Amino acid sequence: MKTAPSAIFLSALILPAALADDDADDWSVLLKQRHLVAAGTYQDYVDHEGSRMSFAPIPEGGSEFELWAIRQIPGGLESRLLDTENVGAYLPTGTLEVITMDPYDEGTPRTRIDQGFQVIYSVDGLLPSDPDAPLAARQVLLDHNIATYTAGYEDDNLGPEASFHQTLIMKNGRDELVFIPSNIPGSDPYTDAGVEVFRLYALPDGEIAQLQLAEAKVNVWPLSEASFGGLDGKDTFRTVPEITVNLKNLYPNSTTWVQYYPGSEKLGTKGTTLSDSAIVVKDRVPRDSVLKFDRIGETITESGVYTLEVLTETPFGIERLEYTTITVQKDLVVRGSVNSLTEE
Amino acid sequence: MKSSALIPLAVLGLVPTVAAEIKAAPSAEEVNARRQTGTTAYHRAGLKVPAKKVEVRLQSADLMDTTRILVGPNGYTLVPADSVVATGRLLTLAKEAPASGKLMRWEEFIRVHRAGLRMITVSDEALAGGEVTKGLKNAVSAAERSGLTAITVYNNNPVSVPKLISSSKS
Repeated sequence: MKTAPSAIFLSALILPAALADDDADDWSVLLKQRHLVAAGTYQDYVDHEGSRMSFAPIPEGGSEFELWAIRQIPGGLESRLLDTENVGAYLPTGTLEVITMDPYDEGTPRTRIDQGFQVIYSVDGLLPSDPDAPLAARQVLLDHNIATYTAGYEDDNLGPEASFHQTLIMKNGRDELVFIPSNIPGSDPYTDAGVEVFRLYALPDGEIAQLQLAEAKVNVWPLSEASFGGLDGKDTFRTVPEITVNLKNLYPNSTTWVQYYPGSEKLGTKGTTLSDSAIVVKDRVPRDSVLKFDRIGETITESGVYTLEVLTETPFGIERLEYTTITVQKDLVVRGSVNSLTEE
Repeated sequence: MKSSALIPLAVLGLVPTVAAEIKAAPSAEEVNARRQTGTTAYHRAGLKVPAKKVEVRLQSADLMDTTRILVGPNGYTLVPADSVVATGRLLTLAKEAPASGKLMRWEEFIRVHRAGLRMITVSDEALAGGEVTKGLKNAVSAAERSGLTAITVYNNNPVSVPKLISSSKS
């Protein structure tokens, strides 16, 4: 059976590194020791640099140490949490990592709502085969929460986290969970977006999760949408009019363009790109945009059937967001009362 | 973090070339049909669901979540929340630092406010979560009657003893 250390040496080199921008002499440093299993909290001031024994022996359930810097400011008190450390006989360790198909590495990993992701987790320090080990040494909690965006995709628009699922991990090692698709609630994948949050907790008393071992998040963005405008419900023209393409929620790492090819719609056809109509999004969150092309009539000059397609390239491949098929008839003559097609 | 960037390709002199297969974008119906199976990943991995929902207490980055301010006529000091077991006439307990007054270290605070304080020494056992003894309960009752502010201490430093607080409330 593992035994808890009776006490530990704590060392700190806090200033000026942690408070480099301020006058170090203004700050006092407070060390707190809290027993993790429903017991006392100790505190005392310590030097800016040095080491000391823990205030009290470390109980079997472990202790959490917090190092705070405090100083008086006009109107009150300012405090900063400098560091935390958990010590105990039965405190497992763990890691979490989210992997998506998007290689983005400048912040929280991200994916699209239909694509899903992997969560790689690892746990060490559990004693599953020790009959004398307390419950705390036999399991850790994997807590899965979801927060959804209420309007817009900036952090300020993110709602509170709601519990999605909890599970117990009862063996050491590395494993993975695969989520396809993502778990953001809702019924409209063109607007549903949010953040999925995974946290691994030790359970010092076997029941209450109060010691976080690891955290991983993934941003989940909605499907992109495209629609053609400017055709006024018609599909036959003597000259192709100005056309607009309304684009919604373009993936933050995407290139979107319009291509055309002669003939009816056929998915997978490589057509001719309208070179002045592409949009590159390199951003943190999805973006809307509008493409206008008013000289398509100069590009498509021959009579015939043509298909226009909106394509987007993302880390998930090239996809057709929308298409429309039009007929160009250079010799189009419309007689009678159809006002919109009276060219001769 | 990059800011918004919608860049017309023509500006960059780039024209997309379609090398990969063009697929149909998924429809809402297709995505929604697959969204019904959210927790199957856990079942597939053979992970156990707790018998009842586990309570999660997140660590706070706010010192005042676990700390209180003990305010006297000559200044104030920080003590662990629940370490003050009785409030007397001379000293008050607050959740926020007063706008004026001097922040004092504990040693200095007790030196200048000794007349209004009673310190109750607690044992290792009580601090490790053991049952609160009758002697400790009596000491708290006596402090409450005395009109002094009573605070539990260990090695002369303020400490909180959650079981003492819960037993006094019951």
